[in-house]
Amino acid sequence: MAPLDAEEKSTGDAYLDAWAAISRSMESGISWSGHEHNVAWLNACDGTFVEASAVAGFDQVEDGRVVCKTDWDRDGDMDLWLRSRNGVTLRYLENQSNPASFVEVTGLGRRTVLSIELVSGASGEDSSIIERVIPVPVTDGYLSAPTRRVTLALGPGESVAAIEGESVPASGRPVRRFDLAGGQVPELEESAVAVGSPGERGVLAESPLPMRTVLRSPLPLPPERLDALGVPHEREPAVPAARLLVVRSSECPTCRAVLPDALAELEKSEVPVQVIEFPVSMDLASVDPSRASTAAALCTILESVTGPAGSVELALPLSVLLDSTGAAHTIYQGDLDAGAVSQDATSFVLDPVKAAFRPAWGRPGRGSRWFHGAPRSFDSLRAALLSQGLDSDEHFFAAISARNR
Amino acid sequence: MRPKGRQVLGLVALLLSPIGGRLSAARPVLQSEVAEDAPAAEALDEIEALAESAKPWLEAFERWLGTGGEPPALGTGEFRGDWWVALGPHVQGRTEGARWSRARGGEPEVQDAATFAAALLGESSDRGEGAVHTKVVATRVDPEGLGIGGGGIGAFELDVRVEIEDAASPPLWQVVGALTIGLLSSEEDAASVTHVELKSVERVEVDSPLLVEKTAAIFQAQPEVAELLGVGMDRWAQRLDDPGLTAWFGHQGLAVGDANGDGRDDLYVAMPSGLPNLLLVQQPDGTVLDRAEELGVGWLDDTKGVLFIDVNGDGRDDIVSALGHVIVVQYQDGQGMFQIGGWCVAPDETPFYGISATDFDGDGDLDLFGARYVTSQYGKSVPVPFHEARNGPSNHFFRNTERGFQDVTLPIGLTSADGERFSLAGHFLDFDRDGDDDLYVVNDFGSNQLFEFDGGKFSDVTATFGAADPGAGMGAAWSDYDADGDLDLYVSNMFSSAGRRVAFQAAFAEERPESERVGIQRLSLGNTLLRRDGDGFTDVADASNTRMGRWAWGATFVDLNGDGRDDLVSPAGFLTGPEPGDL
Repeated sequence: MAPLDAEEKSTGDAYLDAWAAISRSMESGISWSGHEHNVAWLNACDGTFVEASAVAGFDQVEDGRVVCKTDWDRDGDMDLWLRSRNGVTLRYLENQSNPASFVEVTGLGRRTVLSIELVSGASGEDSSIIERVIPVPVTDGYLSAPTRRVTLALGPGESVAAIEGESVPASGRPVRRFDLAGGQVPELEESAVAVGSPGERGVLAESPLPMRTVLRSPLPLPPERLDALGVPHEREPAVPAARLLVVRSSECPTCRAVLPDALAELEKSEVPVQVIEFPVSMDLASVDPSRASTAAALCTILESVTGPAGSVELALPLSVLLDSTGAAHTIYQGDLDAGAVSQDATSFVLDPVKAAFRPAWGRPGRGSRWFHGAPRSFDSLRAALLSQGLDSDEHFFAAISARNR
Repeated sequence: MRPKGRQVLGLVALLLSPIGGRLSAARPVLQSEVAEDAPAAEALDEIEALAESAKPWLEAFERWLGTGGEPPALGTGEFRGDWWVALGPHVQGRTEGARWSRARGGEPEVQDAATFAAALLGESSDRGEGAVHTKVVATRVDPEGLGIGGGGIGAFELDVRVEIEDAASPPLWQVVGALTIGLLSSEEDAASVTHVELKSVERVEVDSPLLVEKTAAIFQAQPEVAELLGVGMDRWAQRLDDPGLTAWFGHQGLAVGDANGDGRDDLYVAMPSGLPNLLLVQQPDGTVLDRAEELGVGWLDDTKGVLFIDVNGDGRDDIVSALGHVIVVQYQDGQGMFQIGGWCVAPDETPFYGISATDFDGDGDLDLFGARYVTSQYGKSVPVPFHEARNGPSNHFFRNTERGFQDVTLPIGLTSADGERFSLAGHFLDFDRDGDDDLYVVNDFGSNQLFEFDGGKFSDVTATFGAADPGAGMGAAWSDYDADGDLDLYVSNMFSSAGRRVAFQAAFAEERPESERVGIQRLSLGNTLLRRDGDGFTDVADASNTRMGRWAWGATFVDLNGDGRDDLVSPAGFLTGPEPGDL
């Protein structure tokens, strides 16, 4: 094919002419870098990769476009959805690596970059710390928005020492580090981590609770528990209100050294603070009987995020953001960030609903593109097309029934 | 033998050559006229004809490697050709579930055909079931500088990639070899092969496939959905009411999220205009049910980028769809429905392609970025020049506020000062790990851009970090693939055999500035792996063996074999048409 047809005049611009020729070439039915298979490489762990498209099962010849990652079957490895232009345009490819041990991390809202420290080898002098940097992106590749739940396979003898997430404009603290407690799935949200219920497979780790836990939905606390805490609550409040319940100990260094500053800052905000102070640091197993109802109330809150089977060590200070019905919205472990608390109060309690909802989306001046009013199943689509005389090629549907392989 | 059609990048070459200069003259010139006296065009045609003339020999070579028998003939008349093997020592390695070896860079040694085949096939030298494919990736005319005779008589070399595989029964193996084939052409006869040199070989073996397709099983409850998805765009384009060329190109995205708070991943599938988007909700047994229509997300408009993410920070995943030049945000309402709660509108009808999200202002909800490419009618907006266009449509960044999404592209610095570059994707990630998200924009017809977020604004730091990657970019992905504690970047680019064959010839655009020639040449070379080294990035695609991703789109990192290290997958191929010929 010539760049310009004999009957067609040049535009006088080489690029315009070339573009016109390219467009016409593509419309002619010829292939342009077609018949290409997808490509997969294995990391040789020496800075190079080894092509393994065929043995990986990733060598389809269908003009591949998009790969979307997800641990669909929750077995600890990332499976793939593959979108292509031709042939079978959506395929599910199940990863077969099935690691015996893995870490699973869930990113919420704005995603982040994780630094995961692994302990490799036996304990003692033979062990070493390995760092793995794991991006948890909103999008990657091309037109792909992968899962927020990423996994990292652990080798024999490897365990997680710590996970460090980076993010956080809200609190202004660029780096947060947290350790994991056994059987917990960390979820990152901005600067914080929430502990969700574990998946079907376990996740390693150890140690204390996260700094900020946003409950997926408000958790109504039993009225008698609220009464025991001395927290006001109404069944049907006239206006939404927020309240921060702070549990602290006179023996806790953080409570003594840091918390007062945050509380002073919060007093300037619209969030009233109610402090319950214990004379000593405590855990649930050794709670003073006189404080049992308080501990039980706190237990209720914590169980909502760890699950009833969770064995929870209660570390202080602990704070809970409540609304005026007495429902818990957010739990803070350790130090408080007054700005974050105020922000949470606004986002979760005072003004939780966006205003600009509309029932439908129209496109002025452009007609609907409903597919001839056809229902959405393929058979119905076929019937509708036939009834409207739109199928003039009797072989067409027979061909596509064979899936156009 | 002449090829059926001139290569598209050959077209570019022609139009940038002295003939192109004539085409740019005041008087419009018909191609039929210039073809009469177009030495540059003829030279390029000769090159394509040379590559084509080697096909019979390559087909015989494939048969021999695949099934044995007599090797294809070398030499012509009294001249005897040689088999050369130029492999250095084999390096072997092992990773979880896979074994590999490679050799390259040795001194050429003349061998007999059987030894040559054994060097290429290695442990697979019994052949049998292996499938063999060859691909010409470069052509050199008169490599020894002896002069090429009239009528196309002369010496030339082809760089050929050969792939041999048996993925049918364990152990599965595949071999990739790089060959240089010397040929002598004449006007009367088919090209004769003077030598074949094996320059590198790589073999990998696994006990079982790393990925197993379970598409049919996953759609078993709704086979009609699988049937819908089993039809490619070439077929749909004949029947849809408004497919448009851009839909025909297959730019429809995927997004994973949780549609109902059950903790299982679900999949939102963008579809071309006239076909409803799909929301594949995972059932407890792993199968899916499409619930797009009943949940309010079954758009029939041409949909490209999609997100399935918690936009408003309420703990539920919302759906964001690029529908033409409008990005529609639908919030999961807690009652199982997705309600339209926001939208972002471009200043003109050029559609959005890739969309992404970040919370740049730290207010707890997500703000949106949309990349824009060409108009809905392919060919109506022409990038000029192809390799560094600055006349593309504007990209846009929308801040999520209580008054809706507001376009803040300009005040936060997300514009290209010298013009836009036909962008296909933008990815937010904190690449420098300073606590805020930065943005990498992938451009098809211009160098990519890295924007660093600092002090409430984005600034273009592409040059500072060496992150431009001048290839024809489609997508990008981040990973610490070398486990050195920083993030590296892999960019999916165009790879074009035609471009590599044509654009590197002396006749290609010989009157154009060298920078323009080089820029066009770079477009066809393939993918880029930008390794983070200290303060910047270094392209290590060749050294890492990841350049040849074919015509790549959405390559991404994923651990395929469970060793804790990221591997790579690259969906590839531009347009496979009904005609068997390929550019």
